[in-house]
Amino acid sequence: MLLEIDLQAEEPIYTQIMYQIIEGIAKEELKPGDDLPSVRSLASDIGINFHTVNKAYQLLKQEGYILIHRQKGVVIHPDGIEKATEAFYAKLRKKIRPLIAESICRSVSKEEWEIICATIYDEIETKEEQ
Amino acid sequence: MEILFFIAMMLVVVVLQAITPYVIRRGESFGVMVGEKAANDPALRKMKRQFLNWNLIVGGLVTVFAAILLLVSTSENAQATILISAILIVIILSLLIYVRFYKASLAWKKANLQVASDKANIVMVDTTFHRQKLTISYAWYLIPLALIFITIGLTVIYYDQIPSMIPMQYNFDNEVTREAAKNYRTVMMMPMMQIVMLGLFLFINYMMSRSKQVIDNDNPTASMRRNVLFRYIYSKFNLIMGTLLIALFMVIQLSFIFSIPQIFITVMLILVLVIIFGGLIFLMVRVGQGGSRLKLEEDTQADTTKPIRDDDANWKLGVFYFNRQDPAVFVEKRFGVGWTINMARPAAWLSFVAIIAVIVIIIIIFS
Repeated sequence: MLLEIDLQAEEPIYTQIMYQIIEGIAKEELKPGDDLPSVRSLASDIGINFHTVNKAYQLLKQEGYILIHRQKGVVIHPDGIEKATEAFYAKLRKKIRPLIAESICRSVSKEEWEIICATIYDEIETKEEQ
Repeated sequence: MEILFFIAMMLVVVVLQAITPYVIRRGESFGVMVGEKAANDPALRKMKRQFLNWNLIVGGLVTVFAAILLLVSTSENAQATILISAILIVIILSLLIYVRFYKASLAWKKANLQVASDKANIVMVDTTFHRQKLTISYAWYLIPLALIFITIGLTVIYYDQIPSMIPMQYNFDNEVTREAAKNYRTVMMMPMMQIVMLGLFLFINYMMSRSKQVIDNDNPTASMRRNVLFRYIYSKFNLIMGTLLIALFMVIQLSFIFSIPQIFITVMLILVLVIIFGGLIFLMVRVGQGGSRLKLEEDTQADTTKPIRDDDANWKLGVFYFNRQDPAVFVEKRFGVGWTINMARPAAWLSFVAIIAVIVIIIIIFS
């Protein structure tokens, strides 16, 4: 899978890595049990500090997307990703809330909002069927 | 004979330098990142042509001048001095020509590409890159290792047959200019050099597998495939080169023991040099830096144009990589074919100091 990191973006590099790996899993470009590069190797390929990659990996591990073995290295969680729990829904609502508020301020209609959600959802999901 | 050898050598040095702008990555112009699209600009293409011409003219003049000096000079020392200075002068002049075009490329970029490269610094990495087969298996190096064992074994078995004085240095007419008394230390000189060489070629192979991936933003998938092929091809060539050199040293060592006709050694030496330098030029032209000249079936023009990477500040003069943020030790060269080090990493310095130290120590101990 190709990661595309913008070194000068406002978005921190560790979140860029995190979100792209999660999207890779959603698109099934990364399958359960797939290897990811080691912290050292990914950091030097991108040309950034080890700690940045480590932070992304630690967060991904906490949320159950990857496993970090001492010997075997980093792999996408072999059992697949856990289904959404009540806690996840709560987090989701909390994250979307400010975005909806912003959209209402800028008079984005409910329909438009739904269309945007649907297109992005399809964009990510259609890749899965190919 | 030595004049022909000299001209051939100068030809190799000059050609290797003159063609460099054509074999580096397509998106680069004299160590400056401009992107594949801009690289086709007539102004930049003209610079490449001018660099080639300048190098050929300067190289030709120095060669002719040095060849005349060589013909009139009589002493062995003077000839050696002329030879080494001619090569040094050509390299320094070529560097000066390079700096001129490097600066011109920077100025061109500033004038023409400012908008595109203003705030973008996108890096593409493939998460599976280092899991692919980038270099040949280290098991292949058992072949040159076996040659070293044969050399050592035969030296030990036939120690008595080795003459009491062994040659240490030759001139161009294959006459011995320096000899050393036979003992186990001097006899082991060649095998030690073979071992150092083997270590060096193993190190280069390791460097190829470890150096950071470089993926062009314009056409990431094809560029990644090229990068993988590039490493694999050079890894093969590295083994061939190492094995040939070690075999050459083996034959030289065995010539102390058995009567090997001089002509055989001379032919082998020339053959090895032709294969190595001819192969190098061939690979530079056919494969290019990072595989940039390889033709791939899936090659399609990039449909999405991403902003080019702007990391010129990390490349001092376009040739020396110095980036404190980057943990990578080995990186691909910007101007030229092959790999270089991240000068901001002490580990990179240490590995080079260690290599030079080992060679110096071997020379001191065994001669």
